[in-house]
Amino acid sequence: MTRMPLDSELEPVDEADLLARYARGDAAAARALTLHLAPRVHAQAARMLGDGSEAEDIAQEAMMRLWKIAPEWRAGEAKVSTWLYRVVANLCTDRLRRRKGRGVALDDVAEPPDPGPGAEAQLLTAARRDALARALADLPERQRLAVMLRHFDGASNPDIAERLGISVEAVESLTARGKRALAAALKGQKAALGYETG
Amino acid sequence: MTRKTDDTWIDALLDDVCSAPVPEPGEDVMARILSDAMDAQPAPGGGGALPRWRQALQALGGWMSVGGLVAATAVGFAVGLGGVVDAALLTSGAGWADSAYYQDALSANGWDLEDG
Repeated sequence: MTRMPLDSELEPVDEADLLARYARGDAAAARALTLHLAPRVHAQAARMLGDGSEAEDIAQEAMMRLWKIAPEWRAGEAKVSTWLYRVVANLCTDRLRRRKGRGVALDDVAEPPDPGPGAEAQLLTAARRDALARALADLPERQRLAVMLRHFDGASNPDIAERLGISVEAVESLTARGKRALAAALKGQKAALGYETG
Repeated sequence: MTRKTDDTWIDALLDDVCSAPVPEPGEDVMARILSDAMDAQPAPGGGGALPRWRQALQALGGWMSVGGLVAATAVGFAVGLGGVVDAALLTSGAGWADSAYYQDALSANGWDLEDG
């Protein structure tokens, strides 16, 4: 099977234009949007959930929502990637809350399949990702998005402000409050996550 | 007075989690997503797929036609009720109901008999 090229190998694209072309029945636009957006969507979900299989489910579900909304998409009202980012964040949050509802312990992290050198580091990484994801799920949506865009996407504050349609000052406030809330929520796990210094 | 907080470890946690590698999407899921896209894609030149209820609305001729259809259905329902509804209620204030055609239609459905 021919491997599809990853997002980074593609030229920059106008997502809104591609979506409009998709809605007009352009098959090439469907392929271009898939190649451009699906890897990002999957990576975002994988970071939030820490589970590749669940991330694939989320990616497929989020992209399906995009295909369905395409004919009614109103260009200029929102960026496609930001809309999709929000959809993925909400889908992942729902999954994480359901996990909590099933009573899974916060530090219940699966053992790596092949324990060996680096297995402990892998466990610690997984525990950190899991704890962070659960704490993120409890943040108010705008705080969660601001923190994720800043740290997961590496977006600048002006970029986040543009994508969320708020001021730069509001972004700074949201990220600061979000991180304070994360610190409060994870305070009891600081040592277990390897951040206790003395 | 300022409250001293040490939240810098949260930045470290965020950095550590974000710098960890994430798996690439498998070829299977990419194929499934593309397949979904093709299945959900409107036909070329179709002007975009609409929700089913809007497709049904368009098939019936749009809002105006559906409005007319509802009005005609209401009149038909009233006509069908026959003796329950007074024909005067239908004709009062409605110029279209004065036409010979409509009066004939009423007679044909027995209104004249009901009115004595």
